Amino acid sequence: MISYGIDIGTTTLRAIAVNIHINSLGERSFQVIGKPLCIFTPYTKERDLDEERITEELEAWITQEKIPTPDIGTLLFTGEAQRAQNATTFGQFLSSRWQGLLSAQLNPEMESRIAALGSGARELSQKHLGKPIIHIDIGGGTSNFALLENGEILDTACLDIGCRKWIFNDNAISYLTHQGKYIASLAEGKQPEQLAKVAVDLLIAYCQGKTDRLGSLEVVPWKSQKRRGEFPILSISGGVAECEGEETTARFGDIGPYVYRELKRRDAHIVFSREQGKATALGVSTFGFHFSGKSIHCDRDFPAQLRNVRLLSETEIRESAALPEVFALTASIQTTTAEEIEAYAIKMRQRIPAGKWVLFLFQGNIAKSFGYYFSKKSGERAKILALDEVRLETRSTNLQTMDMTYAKDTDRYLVVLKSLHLF
Amino acid sequence: MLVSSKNNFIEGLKQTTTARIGIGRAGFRYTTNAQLKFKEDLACARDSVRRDVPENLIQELDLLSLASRAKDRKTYLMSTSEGRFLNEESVARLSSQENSGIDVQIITSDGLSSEAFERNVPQILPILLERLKSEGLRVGPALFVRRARVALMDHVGEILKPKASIILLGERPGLGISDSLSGYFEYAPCFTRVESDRNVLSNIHGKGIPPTEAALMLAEALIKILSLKKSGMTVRFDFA
Repeated sequence: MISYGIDIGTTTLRAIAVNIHINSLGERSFQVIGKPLCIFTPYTKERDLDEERITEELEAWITQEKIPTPDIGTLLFTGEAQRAQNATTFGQFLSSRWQGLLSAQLNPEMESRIAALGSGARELSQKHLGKPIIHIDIGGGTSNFALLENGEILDTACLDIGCRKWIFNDNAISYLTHQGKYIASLAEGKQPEQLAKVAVDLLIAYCQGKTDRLGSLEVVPWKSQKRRGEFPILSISGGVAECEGEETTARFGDIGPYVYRELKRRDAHIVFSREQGKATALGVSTFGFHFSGKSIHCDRDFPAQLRNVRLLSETEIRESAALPEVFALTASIQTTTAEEIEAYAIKMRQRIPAGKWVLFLFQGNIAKSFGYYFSKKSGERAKILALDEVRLETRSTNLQTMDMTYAKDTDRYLVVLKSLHLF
Repeated sequence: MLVSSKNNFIEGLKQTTTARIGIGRAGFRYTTNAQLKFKEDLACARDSVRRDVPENLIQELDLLSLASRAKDRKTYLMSTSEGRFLNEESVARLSSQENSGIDVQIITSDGLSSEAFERNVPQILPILLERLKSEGLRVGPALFVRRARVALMDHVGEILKPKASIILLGERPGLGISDSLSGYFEYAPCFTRVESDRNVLSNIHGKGIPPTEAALMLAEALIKILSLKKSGMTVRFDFA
């Protein structure tokens, strides 16, 4: 299988193509195709992603490196890029351009997990059994933390500290973000090395559980305080980890090289990972299952094809103030008694606003009954397609999307689940 | 590690079926638990076959109560052809019913398991009726025929002349499931019909196809054979 890993971050856009071999025992091996791509993430003046340039760059890379069309792959928007207004629509465009690509805007927790797994921090943790390891992925806009022990990720966090929050021109500094200005206010001066010192101080203090100087820099806090009083082993990835030999800000225009040198100066056990681009592609991939529901309920005008529909859980339905227009829902109900199915259908009908389009996935054989009760009462309601006998056997995280196609000749609905799969 | 995952796999498989697999042994014999479970299931199966559906349930479901020519349970079991025809009294009763322009005739029966009827028909019938009526179909008086076989739908067909007919009747109990129901359906039922003219949805019970789901599947299947004007082997149903 050919897999693309495209990571559009605050500062850099990285892309890699790998040939994944999976043998009958489930063992995987990877072979990188051509040279990975690494460019500055192009933005428009309005700080939107420059769709035209990104597409051109990717197409040029594919042609130049003679990379085949992908079977699977991941398109990740991370850091500031995921906050760009056009990230969702652009992701949808790219995943329709290269079918099989899963487009995902990572939340900080996912970003932390993927960075930790992809950079080799898990293996490092397995080597140092019983010792806490904190992995920090220092990017252009944010720093993502993951606490590991014995190869397991125990906790994650995220700070709004990155290397590209300032622009330096002939010793003059301009601030790209409010957070950059705040960090600068803590520094002794406005030189890159002084900013880097503060940034590293804040990062290391945060590893030790100290938050007093953070202000509003804490995007996602640690969930627990377990063992962060002692100083752990640090594992670093992101652009900073690749700054060895970079003397000034000249090449990248950010403080990455200074942060790298500052970290090196600290009296701590720090390991740098320099294969983030490759690690991202190998650490994350799509995972597809094809299903056809055994029993189906379909509202008359439900679309025959859906692409990249978000897969939500019941908890997300309960907690989300604004649900997407179209989404899929993995239903937890297992019962086959009419009363319980009816009660569940009524609950769902009340919970999901009219005008939405929902693809319900049931594990048991109840799709028709559910559809019957859902549509029994007249009045405005969401339009639904219910499929059953769908088993989502995946070890992946909760970030999933799916495609659905109605195959008219066989009268079947084909469903492809696409999820981030952490190897 | 390998042994453990193999055991987990077998345990997982066992959860998916009521069949007697991996029940173990004690020396040359079954374990006491397996032996007791066998006796319990056999008793359930015998009860299902021998017991009659209570009359008050038939009234509750508003079914017209009829009977086949098999005058008792023993005759029904020993002489299968007797279950294929209505007795004289039932023929007279049915003939007095309004029979013009019936699209679908619903017949229910205890068949070989009264438990299957009691557990499933009360759930299936209202949904099946409602779904058929929502399509504008005229449904004949719902019948309950004691001790019926599948082909009894042809005898009813000769009297009421419906466009299609369905019979819901209890299946022969196994040692794991004693409440399984089947729904046989046929286009233009009459005495010239043969087995291959019928279709069936079987295994309707709590651990198989849930009754509410089966009701909707059967309704859609009946709508299909009415639109195709044929049933049997030439019509394919994947019940999907």
